[in-house]
Amino acid sequence: MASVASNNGDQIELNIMPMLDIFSILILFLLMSFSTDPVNHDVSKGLELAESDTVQSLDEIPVLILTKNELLVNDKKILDIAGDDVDAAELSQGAISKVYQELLKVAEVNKRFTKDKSKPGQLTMEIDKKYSFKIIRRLMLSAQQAEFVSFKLMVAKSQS
Amino acid sequence: MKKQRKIIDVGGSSSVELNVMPFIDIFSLLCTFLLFSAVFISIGILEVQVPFLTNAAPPPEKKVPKRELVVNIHLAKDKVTLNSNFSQPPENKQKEDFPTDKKGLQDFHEALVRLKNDNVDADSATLMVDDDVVYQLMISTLDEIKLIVAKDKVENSSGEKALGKRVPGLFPKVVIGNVLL
Repeated sequence: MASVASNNGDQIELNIMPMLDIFSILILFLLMSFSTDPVNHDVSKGLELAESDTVQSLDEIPVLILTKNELLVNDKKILDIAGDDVDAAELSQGAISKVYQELLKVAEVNKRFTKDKSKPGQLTMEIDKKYSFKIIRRLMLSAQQAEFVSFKLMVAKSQS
Repeated sequence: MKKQRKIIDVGGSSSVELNVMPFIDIFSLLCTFLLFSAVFISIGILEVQVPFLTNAAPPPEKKVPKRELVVNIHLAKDKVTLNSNFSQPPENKQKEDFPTDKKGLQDFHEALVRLKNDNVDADSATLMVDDDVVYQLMISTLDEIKLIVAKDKVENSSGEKALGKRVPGLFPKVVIGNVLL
């Protein structure tokens, strides 16, 4: 037990057993929430994920991130987003040209390192839940033109 | 100053006090490490596809075309429409509308479960989403299309049964049909 001496010479002992109790409960809680997933990605700032009951876990870092006011590809800012859609000047046949250009580069790098070149590309997307499907369709269209046809939509697993 | 083990000799008997300071040191270090590495939001994924053209050779045509279930779902802001028909006659076209509130989506899910029970091999659906549909609603609808729970009383395509949690297996392959130039 920890102890201190008082002025009249008596020893005051500090009871640290409750502190040990608290520590052990805290550690139990943190161990239960500890993740051993191979992929560890923090949700991007300025973004709230949609909730889902899915049990599939994230298995790759998102390439395309659409926060409340920015669009990023591989952590590189491509566009500012004001409102619910992209400026008409950035569009080409319904797709977003800058996103298409960046995803073409990503597709070329992926092809260099993929054994099965005939397999269609996969893209992980992290999108804020407030957007309407209009801008998401534009992103998917841009990715489709860059030969990405399968999408993994990042969601927050609901606790229920 | 750490207190050493103290042995008190009282009339021949001895009591030993346990030094708990090392426990506290270890616990505080472990707490610090776990707090830094804790993930409080669990992240998952939902897989979808979009239509695409390929240069690959078409599969050889079968002599007897297979009669398969075709499921088309149209998601608008206030309702979701379930269309189903067979690829060969008799087509048995069916159409049902559901509202997009919680009860409506549950009814929509139950209609999909009935379809799946009648056609166990069917595993894909085409989803058309209106531009003004909010992303969260689209994700909730995808959950109802893809996942099953124990009370659904349906086996997923691999024959496993859901055990309390929602698992993939209803119509796991979803194609977003209106992502086209």
